[in-house]
Amino acid sequence: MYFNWKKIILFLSALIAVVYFFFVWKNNFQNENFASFPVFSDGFRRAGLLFALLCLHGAILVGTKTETGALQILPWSLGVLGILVMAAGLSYFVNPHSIFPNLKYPPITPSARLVKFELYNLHEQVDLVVLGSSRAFTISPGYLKKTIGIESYNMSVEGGRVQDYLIQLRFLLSKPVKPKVLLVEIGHLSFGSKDLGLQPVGLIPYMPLDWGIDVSLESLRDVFGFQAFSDSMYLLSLPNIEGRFRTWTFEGNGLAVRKSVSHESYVNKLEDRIKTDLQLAACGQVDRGSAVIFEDFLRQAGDNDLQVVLYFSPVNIELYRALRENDLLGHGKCIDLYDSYFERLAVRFSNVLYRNLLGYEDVGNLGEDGFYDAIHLKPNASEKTIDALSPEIEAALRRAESASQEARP
Amino acid sequence: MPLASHAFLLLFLPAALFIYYKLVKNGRGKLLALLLFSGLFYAAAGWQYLPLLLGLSLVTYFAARRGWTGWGIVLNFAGLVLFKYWDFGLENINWLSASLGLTWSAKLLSLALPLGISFYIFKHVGYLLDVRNGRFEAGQDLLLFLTYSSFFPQVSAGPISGYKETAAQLSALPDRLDNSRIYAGLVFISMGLAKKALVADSLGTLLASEVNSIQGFSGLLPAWYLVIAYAMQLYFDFSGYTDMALGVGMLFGVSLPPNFNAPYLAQDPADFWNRWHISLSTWFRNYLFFPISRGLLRRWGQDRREQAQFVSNFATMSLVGLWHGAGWGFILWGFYHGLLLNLHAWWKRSGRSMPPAVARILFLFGLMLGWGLFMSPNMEYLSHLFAQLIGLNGLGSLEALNALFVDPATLVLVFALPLAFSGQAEAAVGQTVQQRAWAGLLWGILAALGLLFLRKDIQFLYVQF
Repeated sequence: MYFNWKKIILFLSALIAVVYFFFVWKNNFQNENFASFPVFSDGFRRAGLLFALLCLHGAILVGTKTETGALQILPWSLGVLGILVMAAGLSYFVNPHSIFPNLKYPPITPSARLVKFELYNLHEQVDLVVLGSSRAFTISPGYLKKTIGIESYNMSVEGGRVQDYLIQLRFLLSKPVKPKVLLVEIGHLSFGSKDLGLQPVGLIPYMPLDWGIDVSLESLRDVFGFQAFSDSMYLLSLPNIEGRFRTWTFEGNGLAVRKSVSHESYVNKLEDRIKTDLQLAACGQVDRGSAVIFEDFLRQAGDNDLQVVLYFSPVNIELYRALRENDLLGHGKCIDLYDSYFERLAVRFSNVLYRNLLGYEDVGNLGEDGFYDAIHLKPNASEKTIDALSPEIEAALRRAESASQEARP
Repeated sequence: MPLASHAFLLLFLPAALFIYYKLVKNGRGKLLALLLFSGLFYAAAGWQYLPLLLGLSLVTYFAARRGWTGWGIVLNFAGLVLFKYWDFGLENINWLSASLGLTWSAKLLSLALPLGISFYIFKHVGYLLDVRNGRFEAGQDLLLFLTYSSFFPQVSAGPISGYKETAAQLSALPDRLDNSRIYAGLVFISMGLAKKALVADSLGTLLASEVNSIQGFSGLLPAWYLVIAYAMQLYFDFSGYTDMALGVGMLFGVSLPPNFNAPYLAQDPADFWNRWHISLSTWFRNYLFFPISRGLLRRWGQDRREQAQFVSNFATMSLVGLWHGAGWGFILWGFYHGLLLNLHAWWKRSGRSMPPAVARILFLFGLMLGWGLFMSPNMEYLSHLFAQLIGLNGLGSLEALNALFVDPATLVLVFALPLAFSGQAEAAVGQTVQQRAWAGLLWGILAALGLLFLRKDIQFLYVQF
């Protein structure tokens, strides 16, 4: 190591940076509650950045060129591997983003995808599987058993869209016993998204190759990313946050359970949703890329003798009226476009039935009694939805039965 | 798949090194391996543009061999014009048409910019001009040329290396590297990654936020803060990329030319362009500035040498600006640097002097104003920014200043500014020293931290050019 005035300035600037850091910390963070996730995350990142920048200064001070390279290669490798193995190991052990089959700690990013796939494996015979987004979370397998007499499982996931349905179908078809009917909550919001984002790594075998590569790379970025490291440290530091990140919990049959919400929360969320939906842009046509995926899903289901019942989930009547009263705006137009598209699918595919329950007043009019907000159904509203769909479900079951009788020698 | 990405550093690079050194035993095989790696690397960024790279490389190679260098240059530039400047030209024609009250307008092609097109086409044109000028003979080895053209460490954003120097190394690829060279490559990569992930991207987060919008900032101090932050982001991003490119090249036995030499230590505009994006400024100097000025001198005579330099500077630098992007803002920035060069040349000829420190401060002030031009996405932002820079709206509110003070970008700037002005921020700079083993450990830790701090899908800034 050698010093000259330039390097002395670097050393001093590192000192100034440390002083600045603690000054900002004292004035802005000292009294903050670090049990709060955003505060912890911000503070931890700043601290990590300071440490890393100090390492950069230190490394520059020791110099970049040497004739004793042989001495440093192994230490270099140890430095890299040490940090990466620690980060990846922590990410795997704590699993803050629900990508590994390990739920030792409540994840920062809860994922129904991870939980529901694991839970499904506990069931031997399921006749009906519910697919969908969080709008279908409370479709009760218990109520389906009671009213229609079938064994069912709720596999709906937060943000569920057509890519999820295809992956889930491939998962279901890999099992020795396949279901007979898929009850699929569908809508325009199930279409259009291209980014699969983070998914449990256990689902990668059920994805098409290009999706699998994208998800694998995304997982790699996450595991070797500072955010996962920070989130892991948060979960390790604050072990008593059970339930803090969980809006929903899941029972063994996939049914989602949620704590009741206050009136104020209900009103705020309803108003926010109405405001957001009315600002959404119009869709000129059905998203082609998603349509290809969804039709592939329906085709594969048909090829494997699975009947599919599609339904547009009911919404809070306040939201429905807002959309209809402003039906010249984009969101209403999108709904009509997709409604026509699903009707055409029901004609094209012999294994598909469709019902539009978006404006179903028996459910929509329940208001706060039936909804947590604008779109998420409470159990009683879900039961009415099942009642409304019973004719289609029973028709699908009859079709499935006659298809299996025809298939028998 | 950017150089600074998990996929490249954790998957592609280790696999490529393993194949290169363990499975391929001879020089020719290594050359082929490099070509395949380059093809895969390029295809990962968009396989549909691979035929364009291959096609233009073949055109260049055969045009040089057959003596059709003029056609080779025309076809290469045609590719660049089509993908990069066609719509810019049409937009201006449409604007003119609308201004004249005509209803006619041309439909834009809206073609995406293929990765590295500005860089590899300049390599091709430089090659053709060198062959034409007799600097060397046209290459006889197609495999060698294709590898030179598409060499993956430099295909995204340079450095623009000359054929003679690079081909000589590609013709003599080592069977194995000595440990010093390996370590040097690893250090270069570590430093580049750290500069990109820790400094450039942290500053980029602030600059991409609402704070850096017309409604987001007001006042002299916030405006200067943003300009300086941008100057640091651009420098650390691009020099970080260059360090990584050089480091990766070293690991495969190829030394690429450095692109930076402490540019913020420059004494004047001419010195700056000998330190910033050296390979590009060298290209423009050799293939544009000198030919233009020689041509003008022949036409105007030695008596008008100052005018010849004056015109050459403006023409060359305007084209440097245009190279950076199809937009009047970039051309204006280039023209502005031509103005700085001409002012400096006039000052030197005048025989006047000023204290070096004053000259340096004036130059830095001018340089930062230039970055203000460069970072402006449109005229509205540009006029807002410059109004703030000259203090038309006061110093800035206390609230805004406090928000900037506590932003993590300020922590980064406290490190970045001394580093940039110390001249120690490039891996290629510095004395050779004896190092203890813990030095390697520190560089390794830094590389890992750089990887952890990498943000998803943030490309190097110069890739967009």
